[in-house]
Amino acid sequence: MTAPAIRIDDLQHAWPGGPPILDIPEFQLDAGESAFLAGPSGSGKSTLLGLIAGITPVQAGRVCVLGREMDPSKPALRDRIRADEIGMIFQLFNLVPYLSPIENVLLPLNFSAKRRKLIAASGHSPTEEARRILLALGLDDDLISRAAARLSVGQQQRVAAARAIIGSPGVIVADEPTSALDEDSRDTFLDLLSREARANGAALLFVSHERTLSSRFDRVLELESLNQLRQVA
Amino acid sequence: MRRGLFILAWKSLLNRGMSAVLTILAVTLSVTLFLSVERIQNGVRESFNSTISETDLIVGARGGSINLLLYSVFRLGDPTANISWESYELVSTAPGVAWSVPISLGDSHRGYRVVGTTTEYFEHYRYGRDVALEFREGLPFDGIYQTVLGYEVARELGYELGQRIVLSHGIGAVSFAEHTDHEFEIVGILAPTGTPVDRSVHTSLESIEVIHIGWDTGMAPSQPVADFSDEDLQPASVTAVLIGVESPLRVLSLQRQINTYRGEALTALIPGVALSQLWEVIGAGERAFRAISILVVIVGLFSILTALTSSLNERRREMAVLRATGARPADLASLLILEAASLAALGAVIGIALTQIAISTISIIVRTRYGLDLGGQIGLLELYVFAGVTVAGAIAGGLPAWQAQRNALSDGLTPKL
Repeated sequence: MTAPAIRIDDLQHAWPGGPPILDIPEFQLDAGESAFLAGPSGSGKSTLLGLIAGITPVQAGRVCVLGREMDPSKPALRDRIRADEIGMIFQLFNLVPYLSPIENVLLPLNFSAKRRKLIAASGHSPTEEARRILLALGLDDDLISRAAARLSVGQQQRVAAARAIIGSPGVIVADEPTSALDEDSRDTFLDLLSREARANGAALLFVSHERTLSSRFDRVLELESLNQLRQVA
Repeated sequence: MRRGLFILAWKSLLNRGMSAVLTILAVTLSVTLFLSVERIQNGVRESFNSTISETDLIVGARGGSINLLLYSVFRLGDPTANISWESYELVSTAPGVAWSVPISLGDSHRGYRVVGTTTEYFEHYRYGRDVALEFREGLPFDGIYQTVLGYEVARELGYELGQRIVLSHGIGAVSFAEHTDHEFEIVGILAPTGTPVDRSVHTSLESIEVIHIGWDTGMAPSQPVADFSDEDLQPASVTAVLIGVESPLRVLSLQRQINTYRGEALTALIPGVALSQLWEVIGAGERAFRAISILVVIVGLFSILTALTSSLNERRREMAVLRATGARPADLASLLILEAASLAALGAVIGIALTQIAISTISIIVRTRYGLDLGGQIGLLELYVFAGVTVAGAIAGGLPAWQAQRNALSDGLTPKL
């Protein structure tokens, strides 16, 4: 049996000097599954994503990504797991402004030998692969060669999606990626993202406060129902 | 080190355009200053050291040996006094003396100094590592009213063999007293030496005498002097004497003999010793120059630190993106150190090139004016400067690197801007 994409047990978190903000007894996202995680701003979504991505060290409990634990005492290991297994998309400012879209997409390959090998095994060069994904996400060659800063927000988000997908990581984490998009581009973006995630066999954790989008996902979760602290409150 | 980081660092620098250019410029200028000071100092030293060779003693009137060396060999400054012909004869016939060449200074031709001497000068004068003077054209002078030009004199003034020139009294570039009644024929032109010889006009001692007949008062005679006897051509004094000894063992005792000669107050110096005295005098100034130019390089490197540190805040988002795509905090630190080292390396390379251009230009002027060859090949010094500045630049990147790493850990995925 394959390990779950994300597995959380007894996770508790408080920022230094602040009250506890997360207490999640259990959460699991299976491999290849897509989940919509809803929650208002300030509900601890970004904190949870930081813990899953291994950027914020776990204080209590366990977070595993594809069976590998985000060990709080091993920052380098957490960085490695993130580089190998997690593709991330933010709400805004996803791109490194001085790199072209292709170079932005290629960024994770700098930090993950595993993703480089997977691409090499497919028989494509990294650049070919980046271009293939960008074209699949509806960008054309003219846009690809432009400076990242000259793309529209919608185009930038697609480049970010391509970067999250390249090298087939097992988990894609998207933090409100559509909130800066208008309705049309939002729908297109979601279609493309879901399709590419599925094609790559990646689990998708989609965090948003726009519940209207939730119908496209295998599972819909409320952060407030996961988080014991909120229930008590 | 990951290869991708090099590309990232490079693109980041290109992106910061003007700020990067200004930082590089600061490093470039400081490196140029440092290298120019070093190159000029080394060039002058080398050039001075190679101006005279195989001459064991220089004898002149009593005075400072550095001064005697400067006016007799380097044609710098003015002779204080002459020594009598009798003393010259005594010195040149002293036991152990292999050869002696008298030098008589005091006249000039359009700013170039006239050296009255004997034909033995061309035989015994050595420069560099025992290199003898060579004739590019013509022959040594053979009688009065004949002159042999240094390479530079002929080239600068466009003189050719057979042409006639007039000498001036005194050694200024603009003369108020010309020996217009005596024309000299150019019979020889020397090959270039990179020493003050290139800037000298050589003629016989007798020629010097003949143009001064009637100048007893220090003023030009009211009427040209046409009649003179051989006796008139016998020099009464010379300015200095170059001496070669038969055995090096004799140098010190001969020097002592001359220095304690009771007949006339004389100074005998050993060129090498006098030169090292000169370097001792100049050394303090050189060290001060070097210290200042090193400080300027440090200031240049500080501009890297300033530029990178001040850019850190606006790059927090970029750093968070890099973190999200798998960069470790150490990768971010490496990125900044690479950027700092690249700025320093670029500044150093441009600085080295600029120095090369500057030195080539300056050396033309120095050669024309002082007959000194500054040399001018890029060598080990430049390699050390390049390596040193690049490493120092990387070290200067340490502080912003450390700060970026700290920011990355506290910012996580959402920088607090």
